Amino acid sequence: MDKRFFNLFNLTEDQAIALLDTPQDQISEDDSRYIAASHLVNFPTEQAIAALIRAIQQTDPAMENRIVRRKSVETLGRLEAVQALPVIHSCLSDDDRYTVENAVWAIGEIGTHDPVILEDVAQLLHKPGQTYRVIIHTLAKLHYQPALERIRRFTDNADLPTASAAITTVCRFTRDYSQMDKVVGMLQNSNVLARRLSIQDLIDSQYYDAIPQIARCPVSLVFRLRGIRMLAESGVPVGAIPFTAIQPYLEQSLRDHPGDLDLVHTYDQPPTLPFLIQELYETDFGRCYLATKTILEHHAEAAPDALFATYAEEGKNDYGAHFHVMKLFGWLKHVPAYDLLIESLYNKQPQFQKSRAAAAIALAELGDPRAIPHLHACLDSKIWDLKYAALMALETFGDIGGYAKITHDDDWLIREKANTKLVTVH
Amino acid sequence: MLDAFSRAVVAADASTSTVSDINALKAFVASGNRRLDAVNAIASNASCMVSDAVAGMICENQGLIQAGGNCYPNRRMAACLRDAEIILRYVTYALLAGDASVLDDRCLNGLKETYAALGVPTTSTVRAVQIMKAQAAAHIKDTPSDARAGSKKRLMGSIVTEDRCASLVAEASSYFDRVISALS
Amino acid sequence: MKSVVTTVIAAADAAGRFPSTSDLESVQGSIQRAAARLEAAEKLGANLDRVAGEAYDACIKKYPYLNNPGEANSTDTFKAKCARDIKHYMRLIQYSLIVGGTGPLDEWGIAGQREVYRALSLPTAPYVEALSFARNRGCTPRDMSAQALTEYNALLDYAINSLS
Repeated sequence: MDKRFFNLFNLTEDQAIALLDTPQDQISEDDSRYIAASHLVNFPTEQAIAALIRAIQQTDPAMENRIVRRKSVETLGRLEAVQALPVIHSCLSDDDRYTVENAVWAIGEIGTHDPVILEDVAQLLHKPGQTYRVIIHTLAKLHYQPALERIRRFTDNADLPTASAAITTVCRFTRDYSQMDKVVGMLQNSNVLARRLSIQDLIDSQYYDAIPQIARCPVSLVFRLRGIRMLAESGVPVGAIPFTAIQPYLEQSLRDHPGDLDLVHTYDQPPTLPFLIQELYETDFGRCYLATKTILEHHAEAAPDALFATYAEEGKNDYGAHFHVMKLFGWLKHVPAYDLLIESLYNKQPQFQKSRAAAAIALAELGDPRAIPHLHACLDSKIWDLKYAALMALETFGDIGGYAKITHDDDWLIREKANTKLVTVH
Repeated sequence: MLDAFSRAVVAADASTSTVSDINALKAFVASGNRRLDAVNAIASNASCMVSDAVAGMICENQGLIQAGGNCYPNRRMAACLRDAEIILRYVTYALLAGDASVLDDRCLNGLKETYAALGVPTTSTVRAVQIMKAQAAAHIKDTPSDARAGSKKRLMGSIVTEDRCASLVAEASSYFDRVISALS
Repeated sequence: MKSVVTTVIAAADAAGRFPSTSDLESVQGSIQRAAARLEAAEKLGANLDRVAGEAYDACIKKYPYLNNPGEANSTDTFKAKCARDIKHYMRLIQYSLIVGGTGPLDEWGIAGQREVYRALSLPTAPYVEALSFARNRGCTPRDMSAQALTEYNALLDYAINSLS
């Protein structure tokens, strides 16, 4: 699990428990029980779990308390607290749909074979106003086959992500892949959330055929890499798909050139450079890639100055735009950006993590061989995508000296990469 | 499907900005009751409007109801009335929404191709739509013609404003024009 | 995009009928409330940067542990990005005020967002805390009329409730 953002609040376990136990009407203005419930995810102890269970038993329906209950349910799910199952089970009949949603999700995280709990989860499919997608996911995850026909009724649901989860689950239970093209089609939905959710369903259904389309889906590369990597993790060890069949798409996604994506947005008129630069700050990466592509096609000359300016002003503080600025300097082969790219390559702040691999790829585009030792240094990192990108960048420089070092890497994908290369060399 | 409000939102979202021209929407709200009166006037008179428009179309082109004509026999006459009513219904929705998207997406999209495939003569259809356009204007202004309506004259009796709802008449006319240009 | 008007039209269309009297009545009800919504939207639109910035600053100040050195938010970086996300939600709230329904928040901010936050283990607390601050800060008649504030607060509650 990615824990980069868990420890946001610098609370001790005792402080967090005390906060959580404080009655809502006595909580000081400067404190938050919601934060305490979030923060206890860092403490997989009996007393933390007991405190979270106590929080769920506070059933005051006021919103401030409701959100604390939900968060407590979620945290218990993350802690995989088996002893919390009875109380989480009781939340399935709650009036609050998000409490129910979190309870269903937490049951999936904790795992159970208890037919009573599983059937109660399945019964929620008949209850109006629920988050059916999450219910279906949990039933699938816990292999509750008796819900198959009830889930099948959602395959035509008007809400596309719900239909997608249902199709995926029917396919998991029956190995009937005939409707999976609908899920694949959602990779091109105009709504970025639908595109991201589609990748999740393709992972869940182990639909390896969709890997090329995932690689072309206009969402952040984080989602594409997560999808391709998880499919590789389930498919390669069992021989369902060889690493070499995945490798080109993995590397295409790591390289992340907008020309390799099927973009879903278009401009009705040619936009100005300032507008395009502003688009790099969008939360929908599909739009950022369109802006990147348009900048490369129509504003290549004026772009570097504008990029430096926006970087200095806001981009250095915005992890989305930061990433796209690094990518663009690479595609523009803008040598004066060398120092900035090296700086990004070493930037250890967690929210800029994806900019590091981006900088490695961009440095290869610049072609300045001074970057080679820095790229070698990246091979010591624990971050797999950075290592992989550094290997790709070094390859561009014709440098394959790094492979010997990584044949026994901790990360299996890196080892696979090393193996393919060593086979070619020998 | 969009309405005047969501249209403003979609436009603002395309440039990641807030909706800034609130005044246009306030004007929409301020004239909201007149809009509802206009929609009500068309909806309440729809079946008369449709049959009158189709009758007018046939009066001008008697060949339509003779053997081989497109409104012959009765079965095809019924289809013609039904189609005119459908067009009027979607124009009414557009007027209610203050936006043409419902008309475009659910009615006009592919209509010309369908009519071409069925051999429906577009000049006649356009004529019926033109008659409905004139009728709609009269109903929104609440000024049905004494000469033509005679004893059947019916006033909606809603409050008549000085400009006799000129902007709503223009808006409704623009939706009929949209139908006409989609068919031509 | 769902609104009162589009919902009414979709239902009438499904039944193949012209808008009925009760359809027009529900649209009229929505139009009557529109003045307050539009007032709130206008005020929020004109002050979006300030409202979003204040909400996050207050959240940082209120919870000193959000400034823990060495963590993701130890620099202005996390703050700026988080403030931008708050601004994103505020913009969707403005859109929802405009259309008179939660469609923009639902479609562009909530559906699937909870799943993504959970799948990537992203923290929701800063958003919830910042939006809660904005929720408790609005003041009438200083900021807007009482009816407008009611509409605005209802959408903030909706956003807080759906993200938490």
